[in-house]
Amino acid sequence: MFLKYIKKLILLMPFLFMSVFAVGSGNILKTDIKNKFNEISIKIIKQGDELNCHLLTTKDNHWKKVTFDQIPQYSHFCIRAWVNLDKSLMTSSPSLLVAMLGASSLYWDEQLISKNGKAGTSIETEIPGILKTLVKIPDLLASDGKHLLSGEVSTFNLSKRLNGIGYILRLVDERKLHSQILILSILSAIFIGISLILSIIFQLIYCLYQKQIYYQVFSIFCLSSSLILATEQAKFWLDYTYDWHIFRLSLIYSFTFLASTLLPLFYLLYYRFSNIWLYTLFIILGLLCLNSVAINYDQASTFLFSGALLSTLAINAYSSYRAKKGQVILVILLLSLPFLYFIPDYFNEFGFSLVFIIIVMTMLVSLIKEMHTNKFEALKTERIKAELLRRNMQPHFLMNCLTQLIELIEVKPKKAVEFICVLSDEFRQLTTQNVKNKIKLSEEISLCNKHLSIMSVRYQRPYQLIVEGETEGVFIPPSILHSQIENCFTHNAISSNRSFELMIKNVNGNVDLVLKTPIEKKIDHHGTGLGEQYIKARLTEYERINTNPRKRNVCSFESYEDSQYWVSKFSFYPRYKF
Amino acid sequence: MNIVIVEDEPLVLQRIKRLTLDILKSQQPKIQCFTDIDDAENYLLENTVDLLLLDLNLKGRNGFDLLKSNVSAGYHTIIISAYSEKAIEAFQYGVLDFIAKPFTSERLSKSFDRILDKSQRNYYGCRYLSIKKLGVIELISLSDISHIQADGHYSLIHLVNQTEMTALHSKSIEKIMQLLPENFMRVHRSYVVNMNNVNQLLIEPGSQYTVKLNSGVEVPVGRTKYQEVKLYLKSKP
Repeated sequence: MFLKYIKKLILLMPFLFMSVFAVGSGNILKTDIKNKFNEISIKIIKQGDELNCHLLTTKDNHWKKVTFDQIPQYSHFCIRAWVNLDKSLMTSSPSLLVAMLGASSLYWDEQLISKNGKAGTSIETEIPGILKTLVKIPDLLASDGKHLLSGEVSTFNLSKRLNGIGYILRLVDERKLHSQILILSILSAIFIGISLILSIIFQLIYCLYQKQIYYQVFSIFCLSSSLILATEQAKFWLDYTYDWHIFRLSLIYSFTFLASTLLPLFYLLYYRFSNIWLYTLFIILGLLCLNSVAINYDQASTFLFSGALLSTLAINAYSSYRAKKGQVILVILLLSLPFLYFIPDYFNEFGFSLVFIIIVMTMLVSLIKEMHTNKFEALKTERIKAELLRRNMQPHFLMNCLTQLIELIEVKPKKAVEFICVLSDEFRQLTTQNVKNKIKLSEEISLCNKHLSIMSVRYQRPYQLIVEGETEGVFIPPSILHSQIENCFTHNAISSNRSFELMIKNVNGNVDLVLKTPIEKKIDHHGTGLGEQYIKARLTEYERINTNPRKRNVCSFESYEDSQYWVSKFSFYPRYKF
Repeated sequence: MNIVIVEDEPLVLQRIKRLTLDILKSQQPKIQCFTDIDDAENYLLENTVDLLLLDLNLKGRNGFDLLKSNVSAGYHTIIISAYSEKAIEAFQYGVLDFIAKPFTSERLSKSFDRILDKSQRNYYGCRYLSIKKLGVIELISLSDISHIQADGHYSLIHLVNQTEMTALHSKSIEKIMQLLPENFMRVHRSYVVNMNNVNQLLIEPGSQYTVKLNSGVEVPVGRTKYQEVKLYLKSKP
């Protein structure tokens, strides 16, 4: 027991390792608190105004004071900011890292150091700049002490009003920055790679191995999560002009929406809920509601994703309550939720990918387990099918029939021919119908009658099956009644003329079958044999094969002794709800 | 000759009866048929029967219980069954023969030869002798048997460890001899000895021969059997 938990912990080790790594590398981006522009003075540039924006002597006391993320959209303006440079904190010469949605020309102590696009007075005159730029401060100008950073900025090329367009304005240590970006890129590349490979593997499994719809859903989920991560990380490795930024954000947003819908859908399918499409509709509506309250893209993504997590949590909670499945996933989901709510800022950078990967891994574990049980069940049914066939074809039944035949051939050759015909009829029907999943009840009854007529010849008694009720429209797994009748002969010496009875009740598709077989001299105990195993395997298979996802066949089987009869009760109820 | 047939399938019963009558014509057999062993039980108890031809479903445990009960009786039992995989086990309990279904007249006739020629021994020796003691069946393992002594129509079984205890078997010493494996030797008209249990061969004055068993008991050896016993003991020191 204890060992089992240790094993599970060891399995979780890579995740822990990755999360520690991620937390560590996520933090280094934030540590550089010094060498920061704390306060920015801003003034809109109006035509004809002489601002002297870049002059050290310009008085900016009465200018508006903002932080960098508050710079306005659709404007042409000048910014001025003072920084106290402390080179002792840096290993190499300082560089200026700027990430914002705009075109700009930046000056350091009145010297032009960077020109990114061309600031203009309108959307026509502006040439959009690249999202992020890194400029080395000339060594001559980079002395310890106070410096002025000033810039002319225009932000007209945005198709949509955003909540904040200035992301980063900071003096950085270039060498440190590169190693940080490298680590981030490696991590995200690993995440993206894992998701992509899983997506391909499960697409192949779906196409070539088993057409289970949730394999497909899982595959698309993996694909969309790798796309989210890839577009999210694109800011690091793709230099694009800022007018594409909204496009990228909306791409991330749509992939997130897709993934957030697929995640709960996967679990709905996996736990075989009925009314799946109704639930999915609910979830989509819920996600849309969450989306409408979000104020920006980042928040919308976080909301969507937490909506997906919460509904997945609900599904797993319900399932672990109802079917004792999904506790592990429940725990992992509960553990990952704090990521969202306690470190939301951090979440957007890293928690997001991490939670994604952990969820994908738990899904993967469930899927592999599922594949294992599927394979096991399939093997088991195959084996029992084979054994049942062998029981009919092989030693005892066949040998007894052949003994009969030897006598008939020597004494009444004509009867022997008749006997061979019935015998081969039964074998033929048995072999053809045993490969199917379900057959008509009337076919099964005809098989039973064939068996009874063979037994009638063997014991020289008119055995009969009396059928009460309508057989039309009733389907059952093959050879289950036949197996019970056969059992009756192997476990009984029936020396009277008592008949076999089958009662059929069909109320709106809810089918109940009651088969009564006489008990006379019991030879062996009923109910432990291969026959019942076969029936149970058949019923399990029958519950699984139903292709209509809204419907589920709930089968049950019981058998017991009741006043000189062995009673076998079967029921097949289509269910619409989980 | 008194023969009982037990078979639940009428046509097969008819076949066994027909073939038996045919093969044993010269013996003028008296045949009694039953479809169920329980029905046959009373008849078997109240009449002297020479042979039981029994169809037994040897699938469950109670098939073997029935078998043990029948082989403890005075008559020989031949099993006719489709459960041929159980043949060896049936032999171990002491059936005279096991005929697998389906069967021919020739096979049945070969089996009947053993009834008529008492000197023929089984190919598979039994492992146990089944004994009915106060209505309860007991199995005696052959290795526990020291020697067997004829006692009228019955046989007295002497055990290795309990020299003063004996068990009575309903079969005659000739019939038991047919079931036993090679290491049991008929050393005397009235004695069968487990040769694994022989200590030495003794010559008493007046050319009386005896074998001394491990328990110290001496069993007489017939004059005609002396050479055979000597040879056997030489080949297996």
